[in-house]
Amino acid sequence: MNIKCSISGCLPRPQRLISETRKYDRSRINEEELEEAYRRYTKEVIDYQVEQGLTYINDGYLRRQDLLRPFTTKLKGVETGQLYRWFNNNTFYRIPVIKGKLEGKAPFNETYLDLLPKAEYKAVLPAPYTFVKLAKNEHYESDADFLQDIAEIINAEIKALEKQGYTYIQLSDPALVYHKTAPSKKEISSIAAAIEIATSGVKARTGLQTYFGNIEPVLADVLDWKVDDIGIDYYETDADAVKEYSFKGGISLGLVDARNTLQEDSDELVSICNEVIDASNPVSLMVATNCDLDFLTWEEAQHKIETVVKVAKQLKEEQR
Amino acid sequence: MSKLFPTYEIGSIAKPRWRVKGYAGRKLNQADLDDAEKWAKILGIDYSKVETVLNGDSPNRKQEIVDLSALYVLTMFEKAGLDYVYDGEQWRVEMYEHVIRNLGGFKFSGWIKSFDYRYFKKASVVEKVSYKQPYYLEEYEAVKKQTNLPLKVPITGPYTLTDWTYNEYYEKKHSNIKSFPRRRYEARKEFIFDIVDEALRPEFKKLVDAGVKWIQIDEPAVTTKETPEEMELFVDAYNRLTESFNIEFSLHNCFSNYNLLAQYVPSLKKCSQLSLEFANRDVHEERSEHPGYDGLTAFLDNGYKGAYAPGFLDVHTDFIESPELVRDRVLYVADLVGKEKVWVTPDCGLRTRSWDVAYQKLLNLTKGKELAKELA
Repeated sequence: MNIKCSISGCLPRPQRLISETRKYDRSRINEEELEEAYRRYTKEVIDYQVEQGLTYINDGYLRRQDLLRPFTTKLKGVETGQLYRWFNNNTFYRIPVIKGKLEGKAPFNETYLDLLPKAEYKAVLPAPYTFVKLAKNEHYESDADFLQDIAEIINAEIKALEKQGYTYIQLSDPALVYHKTAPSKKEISSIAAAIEIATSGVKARTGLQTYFGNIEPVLADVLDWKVDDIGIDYYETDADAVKEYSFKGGISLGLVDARNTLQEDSDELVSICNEVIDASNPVSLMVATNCDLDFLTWEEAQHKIETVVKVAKQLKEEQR
Repeated sequence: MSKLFPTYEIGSIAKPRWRVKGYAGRKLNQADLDDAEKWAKILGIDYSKVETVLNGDSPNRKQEIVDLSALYVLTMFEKAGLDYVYDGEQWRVEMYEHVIRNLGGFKFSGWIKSFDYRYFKKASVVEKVSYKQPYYLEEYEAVKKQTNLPLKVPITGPYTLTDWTYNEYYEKKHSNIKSFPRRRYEARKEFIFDIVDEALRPEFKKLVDAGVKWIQIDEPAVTTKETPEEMELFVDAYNRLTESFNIEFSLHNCFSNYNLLAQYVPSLKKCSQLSLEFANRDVHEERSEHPGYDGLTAFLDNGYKGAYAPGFLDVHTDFIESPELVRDRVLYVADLVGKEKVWVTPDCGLRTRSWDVAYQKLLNLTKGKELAKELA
């Protein structure tokens, strides 16, 4: 059994970087000084990931304002709209308003590549369906057309990121499982097609990370989709029901709660992993957070990263 | 409460710079003092007394500054012609932090991202919730002495306090439950009931004993988690909180899913009115049709029997609603729900507006309701 570990999303800005961004927001420092702060603290969060020994690392996406924003601001045909609630959280994103055909040149996500040491890099992008559900479509005749175009954009993005050295691509798909946005049976085939477009010709390992909802209602379908790993939010999912399915690919198990400061009991998490391995027989298991870590402070996020790594280590020992 | 179209403000008003800096012990500059003087003049407050406090070094200066800013807001509300008043929450750092910092069992961490470069502070509950000291009472006692008008006391509701807090203690306590979603729910339920029993009810008792006649329960977090389980939790906590107190209770909820809320408010046993946010959803033109308010029918259809303060001022724009626009909206709502059930308020606290804008909006609110009264 191949055991890995990673974070299912971005990292929070360290408190001192937050202070700098607040100063910038109040025009007390300039763009250059803000950039310098970003570089300093990005280096800090990269070093921490390396030191801890995560299988995949990235620059933490500290600069990215929300998951969709690089596309929202850089795609032709999209305008940046009002603030909307980020699912059931007390946090917000700016809605992409689709005014015309989506066009643009990848990469849209700019990361601090020069600060990353030689390692396996993980990119975190929105899945096509989540992008469509969170946007306001004023252009496309149907969601299916919109899905297809955004899937092509995401495919171009993935290929551009591969060239930069990214070896793992996470497609974040909370809308697929969140109770208010979950698809109808009818929509499933066009979502599967969009995933196929997004991952077509991609050599990097891919994962569809679901969170903020129970994956069980769509799992039977998702198991056939063209992705290597399927990500599950264990805090939202009916775990017993999931045990009924066997996985052809890998599982990314969101066991460490990125929305609560409570420190998990690693022994309990290890035994859950063992149960999942026994029941679902995946080719690999990624120990992971359930979602992005920016619901916590950087200090608390570090404890979560430690737990992820600890559980993976313990599990590897036991599986040996 | 028999007057037609009674008025009040929902909650918070921006803290003037002299209040913020003065409270923090920072030196006030001439612009701060000029602002205090300007508003003293507008409101008819004796500035010489204000100046003595602001320029003074009394050991009670902090509290004197809070009292002054509360007096300014109360006077602004009185001058604007509101029927029920309070202090614009000048005593409170913020609606969440104010309560949590005064309770036992919580630990604050740092800033969490809200969006872009805006952040908020969030606490973890790390021990059983406990009552340490009064946190709304002193404010009430002080405000009561500063006005002769009837008071409406806004407080932060249990669902919001729970939802905005990391739940460590109770999740740990329920770690014997194997299913994580179930564990989290059971922990949340015990936490919210402890907030009600250990934190809010003891304070409510003190407030009621001190003479409070009306508490407005602010629940901005309600409907952010839109499942029936969560909505029932809100209802149960609300009913448990208000049980056996014989005063008026009302609910304030804004920027929310009202179709969902409407299904649950009939189950609130003591909720004489709803203050909601509909001006934000309405057109700006003076005319007889105001479809922005049609969402109120969801509450009627679901059988809510209380009164409505649907919001007649948009708090997120500097656009000043004319008295005629307020009048037209009030009359439109009166047709929908019955005129005796209409209360005239802004959508929410006017905290994000300057005092100039807030005051002008409130003046037009009361003018508009007078115009509506003539025609109703």
